[in-house]
Amino acid sequence: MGFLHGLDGVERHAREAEDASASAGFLQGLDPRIKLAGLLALVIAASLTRSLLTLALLFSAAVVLALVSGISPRRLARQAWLAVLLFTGALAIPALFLVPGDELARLPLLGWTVSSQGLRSAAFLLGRAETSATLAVLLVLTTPWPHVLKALSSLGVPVAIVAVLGMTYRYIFVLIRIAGEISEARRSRIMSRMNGKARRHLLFTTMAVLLGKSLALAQDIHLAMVARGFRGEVRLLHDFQTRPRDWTFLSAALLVPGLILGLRL
Amino acid sequence: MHIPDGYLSPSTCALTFAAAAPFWYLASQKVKRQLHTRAVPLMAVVSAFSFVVMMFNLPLPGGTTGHAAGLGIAAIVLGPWAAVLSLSVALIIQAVFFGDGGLTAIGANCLNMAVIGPFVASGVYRMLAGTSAITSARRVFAAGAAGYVGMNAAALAAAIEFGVQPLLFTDAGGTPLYAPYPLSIAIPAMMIGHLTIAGLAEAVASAGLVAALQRYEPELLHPAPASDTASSWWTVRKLWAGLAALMVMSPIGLLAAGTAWGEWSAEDLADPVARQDIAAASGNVHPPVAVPEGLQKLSSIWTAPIPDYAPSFLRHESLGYILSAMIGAGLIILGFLAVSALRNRLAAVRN
Amino acid sequence: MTDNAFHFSGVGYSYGPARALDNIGFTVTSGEKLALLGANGSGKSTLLRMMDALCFPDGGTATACGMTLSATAFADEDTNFAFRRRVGLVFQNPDVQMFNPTVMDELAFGPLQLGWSTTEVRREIDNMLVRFNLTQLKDRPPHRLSGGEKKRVAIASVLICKPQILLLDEPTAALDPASKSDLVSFLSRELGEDRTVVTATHDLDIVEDISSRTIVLDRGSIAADGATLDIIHDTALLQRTHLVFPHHHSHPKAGPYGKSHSHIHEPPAKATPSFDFDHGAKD
Repeated sequence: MGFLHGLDGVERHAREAEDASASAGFLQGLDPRIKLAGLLALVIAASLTRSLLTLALLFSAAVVLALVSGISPRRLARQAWLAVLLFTGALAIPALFLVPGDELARLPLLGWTVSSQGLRSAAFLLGRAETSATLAVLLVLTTPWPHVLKALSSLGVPVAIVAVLGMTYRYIFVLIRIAGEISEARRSRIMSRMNGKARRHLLFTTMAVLLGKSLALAQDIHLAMVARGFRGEVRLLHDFQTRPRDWTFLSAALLVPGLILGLRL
Repeated sequence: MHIPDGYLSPSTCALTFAAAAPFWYLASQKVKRQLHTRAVPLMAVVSAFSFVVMMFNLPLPGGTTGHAAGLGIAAIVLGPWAAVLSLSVALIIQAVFFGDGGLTAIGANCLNMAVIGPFVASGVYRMLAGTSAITSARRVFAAGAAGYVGMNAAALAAAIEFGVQPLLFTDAGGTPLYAPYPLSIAIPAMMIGHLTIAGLAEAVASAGLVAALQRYEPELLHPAPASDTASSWWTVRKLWAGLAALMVMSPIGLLAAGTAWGEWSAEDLADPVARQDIAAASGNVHPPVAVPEGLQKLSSIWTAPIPDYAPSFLRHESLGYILSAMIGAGLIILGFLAVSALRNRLAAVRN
Repeated sequence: MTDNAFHFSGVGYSYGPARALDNIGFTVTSGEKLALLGANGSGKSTLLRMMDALCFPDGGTATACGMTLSATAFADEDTNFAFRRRVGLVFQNPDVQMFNPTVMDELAFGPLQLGWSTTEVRREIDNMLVRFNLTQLKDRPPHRLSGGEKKRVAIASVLICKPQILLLDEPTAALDPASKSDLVSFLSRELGEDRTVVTATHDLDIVEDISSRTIVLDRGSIAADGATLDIIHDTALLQRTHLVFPHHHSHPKAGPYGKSHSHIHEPPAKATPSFDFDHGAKD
């Protein structure tokens, strides 16, 4: 099932996140609402800062948060750093030469000049992307998805949207399984090795049948919701309690973008 | 084309959130009105479908593989409004849970791929498919074109968002603080990739799915009730005009005010001339007369926000960049309005 | 009158041009344990949904707990609310039944919708977690539950609302023999004397354990209505209604895409092809 590889990755990622968030650690112990707000503040701080030093400090802070939460740098590298490095890194390299400014170095054979502004801008781009990606991974690896959702609702996101996000996540796994079954069932009828055209055809057939099944599934889910008293208004049960250390973390996290804005760091 | 964190300045992120917000609001109102209690489960399952479709490895002609953004498919099967919601939900889950696309860039990614893309795609599809039979080959072609054009419109929007960054956000030494490439580089660089591979992937996915639906699930291709489709474009012309204004005004406004949008100092708010500039930059929404107390307190540590970068880049060829950004934005909006006008004309002829 | 859980008379239902139910008439008294036995496509799922006011008769009259089952009656919020508090339906497909992110949220959904206080909801959740042996699974997402666990959660999520009437659609579908016998012994233990229980099934093995009376449905009509023991020994009836085959072989389990149960989906806004979700033992 060549075209389902990405989907296997989804399930693996979800399982790892679920397992990691169940283990003990600093971030795992925080109230999800506080954690979401705090990490978001740090992501915004990484985007606000105009100093590479501040950015480096933010990145170090993210790594420290990972370490005290039992998440190894190895895991961060695998789940965030490498992908960002490959994508943003490749995108940032031309900036070394393309951004005009003071000459810093000259490439031997080609004679291209590296400007200090170019180097700094590449560092900003990569630094911000890596720092934010690290913080985002920390959120997911230390918080079960249902808690992220409930935290969103206490931070003002409408409950209907929170419910849709939760159900979407729930049914991604159901649809992945159904898609696998459809393509397997169809594939088993094709004995020969498939060329590109045949694989495309199989994929589109799978998509079309999946769409039909998805809509029928949605109808049945609706009935199941109505059967249990659903009248259009979603209600959630919160289980969160804040402790002093939650507020300490939040104040510290909020102080960072505040300082960056105030002191123009 | 999922923009990561750090590529766009905080003010750009805020602006794109603001631009996407009215579409989210209108879409949810429409969906709720039409579906009542069915809205939540249907949007959830359809969003999950969009997500799964985005994850498929799509074998492309020529041996490479690509991913479809699903915007053509969603626009054709769901109509533009439901597509706005389901693609946004899928993008949010991709960003938050799977780290695909930045958290601060959710607004921009949704604006590009869940608002601009599907609206353009659905306009192109309806225009090209016309009243042809559900199972006609013309619909397959229309779907392919819709996916292709929609994807490229989304890419152009992203390219413009990237391209204005170095014009507006550099430090005192001239270092670009966010995406470093100007429009003259960002637009061609983005568009080459999208006019070829990514656009092709979207075209192949949209056309392929429509062809498969014609065979296996033709009833899913029946257009939504006329009341829904016929009115949707026309009734929200103002929204589009507003979006156009935002896109055009934001770079201009920044130049005019000489400060970064949203980064006014306390003096700026008190000074009547600066207030005029801010008002112009904010699309003629006037800022508060009294200086907000918090801002006043902060002003002692608030140094003037790099006051002289605006003139410096006016002297460069940046005026040309700004012009091309305006033209790009204007073209998108003009395209929307032209498509909708044409469609209305056709509908009038038909009746 | 109030002693009757259900009273159906001359009830019919059409799904597009197809007649799904025809001239259905029966009375179920409070506390009765009834099985709706029928082959795939006999109309038992449609009938069960009608008994849960998810679709309404297009002919004849039907009442549940003395309330008329009609679209006009249920357009009234209060009627709808009163009915949902009394009647619960467990859907066949756990992926349909379980739409919440975790087991705990699944259990909380019904009570929260019915307007219980959060302390009450919490207390009842804890109670159900223990009774259904789900405490370990409290925070699990549904995609990490086995088939038997899903079934337990699905039933718990409905029973937590304490319905007087419980409707079960194919409770043992796609369960392995061990989980099946666990479930059946659990059901016979937990359902209680007072509760009316209607189980739709084609599984002859379980009918005796879960019902004292059986209605046999065949192509939308009632083929027989009598004591369960009489019916499961009436081989001619079972053959005629495709519940057993003359040449003996075991009933095929619902395969991935082969023998599909044809469910009637309601409301049929447009014709969506009927299909069957296969619920394997584990995802």
